[in-house]
Amino acid sequence: MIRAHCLICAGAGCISSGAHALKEALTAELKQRGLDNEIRIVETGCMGPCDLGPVMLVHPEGTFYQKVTALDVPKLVEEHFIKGRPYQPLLPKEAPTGAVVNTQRDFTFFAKQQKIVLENCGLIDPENIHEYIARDGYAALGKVLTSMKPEEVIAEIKASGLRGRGGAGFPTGVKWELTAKNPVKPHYVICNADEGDPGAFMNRAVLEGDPHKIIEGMAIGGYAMGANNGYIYIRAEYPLAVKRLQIAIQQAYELGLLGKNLFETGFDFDLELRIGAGAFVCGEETALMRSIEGRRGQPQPRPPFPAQRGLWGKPTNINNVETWATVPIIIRNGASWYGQFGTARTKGTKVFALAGKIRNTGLAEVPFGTTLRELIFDIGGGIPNGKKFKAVQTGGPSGGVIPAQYLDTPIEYETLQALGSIMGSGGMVVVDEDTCMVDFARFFLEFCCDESCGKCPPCRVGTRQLLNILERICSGEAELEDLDRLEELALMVKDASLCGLGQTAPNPVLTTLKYFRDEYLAHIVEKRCPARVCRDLLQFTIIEEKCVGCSVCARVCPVETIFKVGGQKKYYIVQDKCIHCGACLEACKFQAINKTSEGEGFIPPPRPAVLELPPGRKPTAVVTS
Amino acid sequence: MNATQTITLTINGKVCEGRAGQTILEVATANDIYIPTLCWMKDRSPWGGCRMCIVEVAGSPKVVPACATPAVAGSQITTNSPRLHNLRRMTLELLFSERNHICPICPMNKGDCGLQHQAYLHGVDSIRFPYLYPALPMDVSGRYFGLDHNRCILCTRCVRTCDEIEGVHTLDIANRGERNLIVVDMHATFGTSETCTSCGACVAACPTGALFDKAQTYRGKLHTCTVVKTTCPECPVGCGLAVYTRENRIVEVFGDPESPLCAGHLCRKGRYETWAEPRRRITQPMLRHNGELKPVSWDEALAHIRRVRDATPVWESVLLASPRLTNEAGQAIHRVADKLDRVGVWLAPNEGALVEAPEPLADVRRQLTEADAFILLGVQPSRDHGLIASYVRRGVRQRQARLIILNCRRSDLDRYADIAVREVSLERAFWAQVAEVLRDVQRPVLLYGTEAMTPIGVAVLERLLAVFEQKASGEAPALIGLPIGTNSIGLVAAGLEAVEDVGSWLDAKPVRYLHLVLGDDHTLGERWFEEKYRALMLETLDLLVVQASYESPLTAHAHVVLPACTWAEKTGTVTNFEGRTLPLKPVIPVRGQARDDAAIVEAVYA
Repeated sequence: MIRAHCLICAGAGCISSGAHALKEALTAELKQRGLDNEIRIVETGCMGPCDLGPVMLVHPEGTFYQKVTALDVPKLVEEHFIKGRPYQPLLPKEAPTGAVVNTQRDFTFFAKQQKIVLENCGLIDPENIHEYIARDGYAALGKVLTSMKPEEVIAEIKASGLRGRGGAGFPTGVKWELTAKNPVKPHYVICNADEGDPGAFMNRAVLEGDPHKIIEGMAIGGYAMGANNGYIYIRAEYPLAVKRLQIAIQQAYELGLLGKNLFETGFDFDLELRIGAGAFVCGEETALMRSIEGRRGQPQPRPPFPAQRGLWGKPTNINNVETWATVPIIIRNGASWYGQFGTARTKGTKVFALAGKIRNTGLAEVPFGTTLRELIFDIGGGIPNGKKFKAVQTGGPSGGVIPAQYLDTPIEYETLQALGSIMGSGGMVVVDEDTCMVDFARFFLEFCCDESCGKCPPCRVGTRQLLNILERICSGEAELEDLDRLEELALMVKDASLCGLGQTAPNPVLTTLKYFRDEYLAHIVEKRCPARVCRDLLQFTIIEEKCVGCSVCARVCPVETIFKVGGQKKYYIVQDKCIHCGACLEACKFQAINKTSEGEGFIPPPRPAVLELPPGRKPTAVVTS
Repeated sequence: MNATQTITLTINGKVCEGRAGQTILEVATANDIYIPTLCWMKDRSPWGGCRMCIVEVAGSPKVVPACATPAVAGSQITTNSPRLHNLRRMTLELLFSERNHICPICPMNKGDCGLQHQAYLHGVDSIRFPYLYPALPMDVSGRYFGLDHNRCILCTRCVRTCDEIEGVHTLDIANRGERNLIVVDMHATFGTSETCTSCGACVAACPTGALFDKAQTYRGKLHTCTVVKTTCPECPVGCGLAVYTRENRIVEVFGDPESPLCAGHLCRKGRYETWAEPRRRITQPMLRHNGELKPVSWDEALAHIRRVRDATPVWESVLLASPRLTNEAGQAIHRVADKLDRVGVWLAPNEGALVEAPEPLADVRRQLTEADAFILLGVQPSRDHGLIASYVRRGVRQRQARLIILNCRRSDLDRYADIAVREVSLERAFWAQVAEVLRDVQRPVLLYGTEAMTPIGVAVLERLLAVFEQKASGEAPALIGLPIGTNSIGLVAAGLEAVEDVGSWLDAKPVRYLHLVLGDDHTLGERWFEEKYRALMLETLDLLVVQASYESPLTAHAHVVLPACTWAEKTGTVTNFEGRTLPLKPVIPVRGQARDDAAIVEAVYA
């Protein structure tokens, strides 16, 4: 008789923080105490709060434990399963108040979310098709095949207002209709699971936590669009997702939910996995199709759109993982049910990956129209360490940054675009006051420059030239006219590039220029980095009063430019040789190192009359010409 | 979509007509509206990468590449606006800043560099971005051409040409972004490539100096050259050549885009071997005197021949000609045939049956471009008819045409073949397999060569035709015979005896006078010495006259050497494998005292 279920998150995040060790320890402990017949352990997909991992949910109470390690297991079992009370040390705390949270539904992180796409993630065993079926899985496919015409399916999707979750937000039903109505045969459907944005993992969560939902969605789409073949293009960097998809596809074939004559209706649908080789640009649909065809993954001009001429030159419909996963839910519950979530323009929910300087790093699904503030501060728990919020970057490496004054913007495709950013696939990188916005733009541009396929010069050379200008600004070598050149070139790359990669790559530059121009000017004119990040613009000095003369700084200094003050137990940094590496700052236990960026106005502390070699350092040979 | 349906759209305010299915660029060009291009190339798939042909379409915020965007009826297109000019100009600036595009030291600085041309058009007078100039390698390991990555703009014209025209896909791009590099095979070089056919089409396609012909490098501007269109002398396909000359020297050879079969594409032989290889030219008559060849005047040489001929009975006098001679030379030889015992043209083994009064072929280009199956029987297109090999590769790789290779030597085509058999057996199972491959084929083409004329070849051919007869659907195969000699067909038609086995032909009767009319054939000399005892036979002759353009082992044995014109100096015609008569036009003046083959023959037997 099973009296409790222990759901252990086996998403990639929790696995890397030790979920498997936890499961082994728990299994052993329960067995030892003879509870293995009463308590069942289930490995589930991602539950969301990845920063708290490994996480574990115990039903029926819904007690949510965080950061559970194998060492905690004996105590946890003792308290929870023997004594019947929550094990207090592992309960999460509410971010701002510090209040202890007992159950999952009381935790603001979960309470404010609306889980539709993620309904099964963290709840079912993704490697067991029966658990999916028990959650009404494949009912939508059955309904479609047995009681709906293809046109009715498309009409239902159109009525639901579902828009593509890959980033552009094109109405899914309209897109399906374009493919369905193309007389050229055969048709193909493709799932774009090449999620490559740094810091974004919403698709991975669905792939790992609820793979059947994608399979079901694609089969429904295949029926609606007259396609008997589907491909899931997934990146090789997601081995767990690949494995779970393979298991799911195999199980679906075994139960006759894929293959020939589904639900005895004569409809055939085959699904194949294609593994990407690690190029970011292959997330672009035309490059993705070329990659499936076995050719070099480079984008093609559109039109012709995939619905006109796609994979192998045939009409093809490509949707994102999240879009496909939403389809069965819409069919099951109806378009009007789905329409209750979201805003007038944009229906439904969206999964966001919260990353950066935020307390609750992880996944959150909210209805469209939720404000950035609610997402970042209520669900995300705000900024840790008492720092101030500075900006949030939405939409992946080529998204723009949105500063604090727009935090009350409701999240929608159009509103983000109006602010110069994009929805993208749903990445959210939060930055606090310690982040230099020039350096931030440089970082993401470097990513895009590196991932440019090289087909068109604006992206291939333009991003490199932009990056060079940003690097000059960060190192204090830029002049004011570089700023004009930066802006002009950024606009040109956006306008002239062939595909979405180049067309959006300058967004971080353009939005930081728009909202944080003063930081650029500080770098260029005053040679100062206000956030004290850009290494070449920093100065390190020793605060005399705090220095105890321990000599640690002098010993870690890689260029041996820290000397002992003659006759005192104090140290002094000679500025000309300092490379601003910050090793001394990290090593000093007495907060005696001061990191500043004062620009050209910087006056180092007066140099002591006598400088001695620190203990243990040999005199460096003086080079004379 | 009806391909002939006319559509109307507005370009720059001008109402333009086009056909449905055309791109914006095609409609604009047809209506005399210029759109700058760089990566676009006629007859190649559009790439849309260079961003020069971007245009604005009313109602769309994004610019689109005119080369790849279908023209839509009723659309309003702008091809020049300040925005477009600025984007194009900056794109050019970026290209110039990327790699080494310093014109004065570029082999392409001869007025036809696409990049330079666009820079002039767009007023690029300065580059506002720092030069990146990574140090990139050069590949000069190929025999005829080299690749300098430093001048490459990555337009992929070479890649697409190699893939879509020659059909070998030797070239492609490696790496991402700014590290993009054209690669030969998998990081091989032209010198070590196993797939490169050295056709040079990539060089002809390159808009900059990245791919360059070694012999042509730094030889000045092409547009100051004289261009003569003539016919390739290397094989019976008869591709059109556009020969560029300056100061009576050949500077470059390209395919003639108007030539019906080659449409501008050539094989290695036509593009390079016609002019680039180092042969030693004979420029004056020579007479053997005391064992050594000495230059003499034409009169002395002719007088000497006449003296010996007068002393030699006609029945012991023989003339043997190369299959490269023109029809006019062949007719001249035929006219003097009564002064000799026998006149023959030296063919390849089994070539005779192929060239004796063949039916003229029609529609060959259409057959080759539409074929859904190629059957090669006893023919080596990769070696002997490079252009035909490119058609076969294109068919197989682009249209998934079937390919069956029977009784042919090993070649690169084998790897595309459904069946490739060196020696066909007559087993039932084998022919069932052939029938299976050909089952759904509608428009087959059967290319056959000399080896199809052997008794075994004929048996195989009959068996093949039987397979087609038993097929339920599809046309009968188009039969295309491919001889080896450039003008074998024309010379046999002119009345020369087809000689396949020179040894027995010569041994049939005693010979004391032998006149070898080699013209500019440089292979026959070597073939002579491959024949048994021929070297010895030369010693028994009273007179050996060798009429040739180049020195060879045969001229070294001759009593009299007569200097003949090369293909580039001749006027005349040749008959190609289709039966078409193609003109040879003089490209450069006659060197030294050389004379046309027909004129020499007439002078010798006057």
